[in-house]
Amino acid sequence: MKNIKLKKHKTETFKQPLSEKITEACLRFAAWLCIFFIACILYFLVKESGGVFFSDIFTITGKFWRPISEPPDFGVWVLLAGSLAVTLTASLIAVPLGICAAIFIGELLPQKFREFLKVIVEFLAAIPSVVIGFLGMIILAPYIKEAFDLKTGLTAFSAALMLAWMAMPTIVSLTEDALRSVPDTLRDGALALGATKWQMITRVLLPTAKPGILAAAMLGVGRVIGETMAVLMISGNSARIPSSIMEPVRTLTATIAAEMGETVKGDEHYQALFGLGVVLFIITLLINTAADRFINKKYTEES
Amino acid sequence: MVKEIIIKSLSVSYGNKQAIRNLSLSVEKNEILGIIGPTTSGKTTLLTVLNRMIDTIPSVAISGNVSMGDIDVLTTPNIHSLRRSVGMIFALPVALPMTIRENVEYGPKMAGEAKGELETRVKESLVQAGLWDEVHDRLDTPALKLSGGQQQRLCIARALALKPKVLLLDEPCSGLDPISTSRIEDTLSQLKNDMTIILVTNNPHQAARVAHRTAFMLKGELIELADTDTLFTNPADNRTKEYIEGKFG
Repeated sequence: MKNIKLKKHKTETFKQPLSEKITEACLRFAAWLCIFFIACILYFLVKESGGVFFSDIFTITGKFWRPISEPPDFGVWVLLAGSLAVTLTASLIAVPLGICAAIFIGELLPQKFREFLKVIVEFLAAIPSVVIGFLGMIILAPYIKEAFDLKTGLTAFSAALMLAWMAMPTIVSLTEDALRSVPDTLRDGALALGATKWQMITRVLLPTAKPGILAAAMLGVGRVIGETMAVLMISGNSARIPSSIMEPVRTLTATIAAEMGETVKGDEHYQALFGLGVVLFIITLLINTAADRFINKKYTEES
Repeated sequence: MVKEIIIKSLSVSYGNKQAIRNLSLSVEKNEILGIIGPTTSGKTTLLTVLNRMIDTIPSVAISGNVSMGDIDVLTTPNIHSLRRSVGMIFALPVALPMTIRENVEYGPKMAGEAKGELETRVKESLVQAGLWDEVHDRLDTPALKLSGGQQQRLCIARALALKPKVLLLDEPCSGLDPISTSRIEDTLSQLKNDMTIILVTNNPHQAARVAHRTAFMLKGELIELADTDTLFTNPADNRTKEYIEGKFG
């Protein structure tokens, strides 16, 4: 009897590898598919931009974006400066605020309000960017114009404020998750040594959750860089290098969205816009790679 | 004998679940008091009352009186200084994610200890915890790289760095191998000269090895408290006898 049972068991374990192989193949396929899509995106971006990268009219450091003058001038720097101004300002607002909000929600708020507030914060993420752009244009911009005595309220600062608002839900939600993943034993260990709640948060919680918090910040910043509709509506759309964030700017994304409709497929302007796409792609790639490196490095150091 | 801790008719309940029922006992200075009993007997709850870690649990109701020297434990406004003078070691070693040195310095630093003091304090504490010889040449490496037993002794050193009057240990050896366990038991026997120790353990043999007096708790009540020898050889209560003999628990 015993022998028979053993044998049966054995055949069952022999079946396992086939289903495992299928599972593994599916997962492998899905993973390669992701890489394939990204490769496709890069391929078509480069293909459609044609040879514009190597022509004299498309320059990374160029300070003028004049697509319809003769000869046209495609200086990327002016748009890059706009993107940087908006992104940096928005990150400087959203990252500290988001982390503080997450600490409040996760550590200081009583359990019963926690879920409620988190749902509300996450609901912010569901607001379409065109609605946020609209609010910024109609409500925020006139107020900014008045408050800082400007010629127009449609500035890099206004756009950054609204974008910070858009990035907040991502940062808050992911930071809160990161804090939550810190085991309670560490909290208790610190408190039992006579740490105050604040000392426990700054000296134990934040350092332990750092990789997760960094990832949260990076994803938030990623959302800001890629955002198009809201900045198109609020940033003022002026392709000049700004001397302060209180001036209108134009970003890479807004330029592509605004001008694509005016181009003829294959002409220089069309190619230049795809060139901008390549530049954006490279920036995002660099940020993500840097974040990834940093996060992984931290993990291996501390485990 | 000087009494270090006096507990009078202490009751604790979580919501409508009673964890400790009308418990009174006193702990003498420089003794090791062992507390044994099955799970849910209220042993851990008793420890968390003594350094007010129980405050981290919502909806808890405490009544009775606990005094430690001239401090009224249940009403003292300064729980942070109470927790510094009453060290606590948990079942799972909780080395903080920093270097060995930073772990030991953590408590004194938060208490506002002068920088110059720290170096000697780190050495003293690690020597007391019996860990110095093993780690003195790598104080600045991550504490999480230590083995489980070493991490637990590091936790003891960390508590010692605050020069506590009382040390509470909540099943400190439950996750450790026999060799690490006997190391920690040796450490405790050394430490009793400087402080009062309360050792909660699931393992009656451990109490028999190191404790001067042992208390047996069951379902939140103190069944019996006696000299360790007496409790293990000639228990007064039948339930104690059955627990020690392994009939339940």
